[in-house]
Amino acid sequence: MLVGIVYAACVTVLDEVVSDKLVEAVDARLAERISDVREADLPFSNADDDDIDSTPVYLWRVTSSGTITPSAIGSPRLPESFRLPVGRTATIRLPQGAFRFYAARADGLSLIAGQSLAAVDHLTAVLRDGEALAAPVLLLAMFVGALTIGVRALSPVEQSRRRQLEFTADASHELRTPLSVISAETSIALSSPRKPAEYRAVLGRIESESGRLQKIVEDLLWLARFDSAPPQPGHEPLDVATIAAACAERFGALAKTQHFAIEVKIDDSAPAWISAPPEWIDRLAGVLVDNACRYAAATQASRPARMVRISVVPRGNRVCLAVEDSGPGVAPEYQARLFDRFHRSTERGGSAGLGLAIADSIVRYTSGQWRLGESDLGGALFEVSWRRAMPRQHTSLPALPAIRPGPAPAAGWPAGAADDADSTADALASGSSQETAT
Amino acid sequence: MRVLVAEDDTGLRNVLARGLREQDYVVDAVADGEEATRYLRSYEYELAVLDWRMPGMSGLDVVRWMRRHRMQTAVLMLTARDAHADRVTGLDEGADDYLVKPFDFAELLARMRALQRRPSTVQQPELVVGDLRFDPATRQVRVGSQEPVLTATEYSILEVLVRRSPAVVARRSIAVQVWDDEADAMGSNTIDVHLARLRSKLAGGMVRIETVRGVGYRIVGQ
Repeated sequence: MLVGIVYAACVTVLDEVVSDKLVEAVDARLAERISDVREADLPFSNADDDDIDSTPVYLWRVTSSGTITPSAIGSPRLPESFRLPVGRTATIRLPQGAFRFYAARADGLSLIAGQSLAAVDHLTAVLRDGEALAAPVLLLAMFVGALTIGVRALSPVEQSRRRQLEFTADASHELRTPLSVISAETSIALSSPRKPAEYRAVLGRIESESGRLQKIVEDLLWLARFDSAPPQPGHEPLDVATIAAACAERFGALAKTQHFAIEVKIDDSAPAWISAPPEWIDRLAGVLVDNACRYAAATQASRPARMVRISVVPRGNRVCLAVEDSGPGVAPEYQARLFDRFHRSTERGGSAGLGLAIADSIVRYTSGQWRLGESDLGGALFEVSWRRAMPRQHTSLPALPAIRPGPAPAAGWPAGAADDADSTADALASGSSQETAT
Repeated sequence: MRVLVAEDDTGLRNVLARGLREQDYVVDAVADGEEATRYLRSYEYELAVLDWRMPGMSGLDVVRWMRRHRMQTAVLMLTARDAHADRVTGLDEGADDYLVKPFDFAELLARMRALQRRPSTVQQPELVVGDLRFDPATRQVRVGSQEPVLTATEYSILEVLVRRSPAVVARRSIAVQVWDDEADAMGSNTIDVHLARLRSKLAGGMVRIETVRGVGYRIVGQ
């Protein structure tokens, strides 16, 4: 609707501008023609007029008494009352159509030049036709344009931007609760005199809340840095098994105090190499194991084991890292919302939901895939899988021969692979020829 | 006065309960919406302080539930959501006031006091019955020119009676609003004992605590 109104307005303005310009051109032409007139030439004929638009320019002479007489062959008769002061222009409608006139003096004569505006009218008519035709085309173009913009709104860039905005909003919310606690504690503590033991207790609680705040802020900064820095391609291949083992060791002390076990299961039937920065995967594992430990600590007494299990399992051409716990698990209706920032499906006693948001970022940027499920331990199973990456040439592995030198080395292979392949191929060729010889 | 605090964050829930108890509120602190509704069904509360964001039933759900059940309890919502649209939603759904975290604890107390005012006394912060002047903000009680010294329990009983004056307050209401375990209070003669003491402290003023047999008590000016 608005588009239509705007279009019509533009078109009207355009028409005005165009016809003004055309008339201006006509005026200029008339002025030029008058200035060329010599009395001796009159009356003249337009026959040898080779003007561009070949509209004949007619001339009239204005006598001292004001009578206008045609001075060119074919000049139309002007109305009796027609007057035009020198230097002025006018558009008059004659029986033949609209005419444009210009009065000027030349060679001592008072002259009026005029031409039909039929050509101008024709041109503006053509323009209007064009505009009428253009309107639907324009509308279509705008419709398509709007669609494209709409589609782009859902593009990954826009999605990520929206996610970031939502995240910042939720993050600020998450910071407010520990701040409220600190504020309330101090306010209450200062409202009346207290015993030293009470002050100590208050300060202790403030200390733990500010620790909480610190962790949230650190996580937020990490995520902010992470989101702003572009993901780096082509990393050193990383053995996930070492990450898993290191993680288990880190949480060992916690497991002891909370009376649950941490088990690490590495399936080494195939190498567990992936292409990702080690710090990221370590952080991811840390988040998952941290969550698992919290749940494991809350395992119901009826369960046989209080346990967290970290496993690294190759599956086809993928490497899977899974963390399971013996806790209450995640109800199916919450699973979809799990990665919603700061979602907490159960009371977690002060842990912010940032962990899974961080984990999700890492998984996305390392092109990993999530799989959530139920663990045979009774609780939740969080699994991330990546495409297996080829490790660099290990000294213990034999050099793999190439039959033909490849066009370019794949990511993960050292730069000199192509050359090596050449020499190896030559060696093989010579070797095989030796064999056939014997 | 008995208040319900629903807040899922343990640290915040504890400090709120502690702070309010120090102000002689009787506090029931719960960690989620469902538990809040269970408590609301079992007891009467002068006021409920509800966190918006809680697992399961949110504070907003609880308010809706309360209004559906025509509970008159005043509700103050605590939340980190400060978008204006959220404030409007909270208030429209039935909350009486809205505080954004982090908040000043003194402000929370003041807003709670404001919510506790009955419509008839909405203009004066100080409650007056006869020549008894009761100031909840400073917890000062004056009878005529005297300033009797009241124990916390006596003060609480007086507050319940004064706030609902001249209406009659049921014995059970007094018990619920003033004691943590109202069954205990009902079962013994502790209410009578405290009332007797209170009456003697108010004697000499133009105010009386009347017993309305079979119904309860009320405080009226003379």
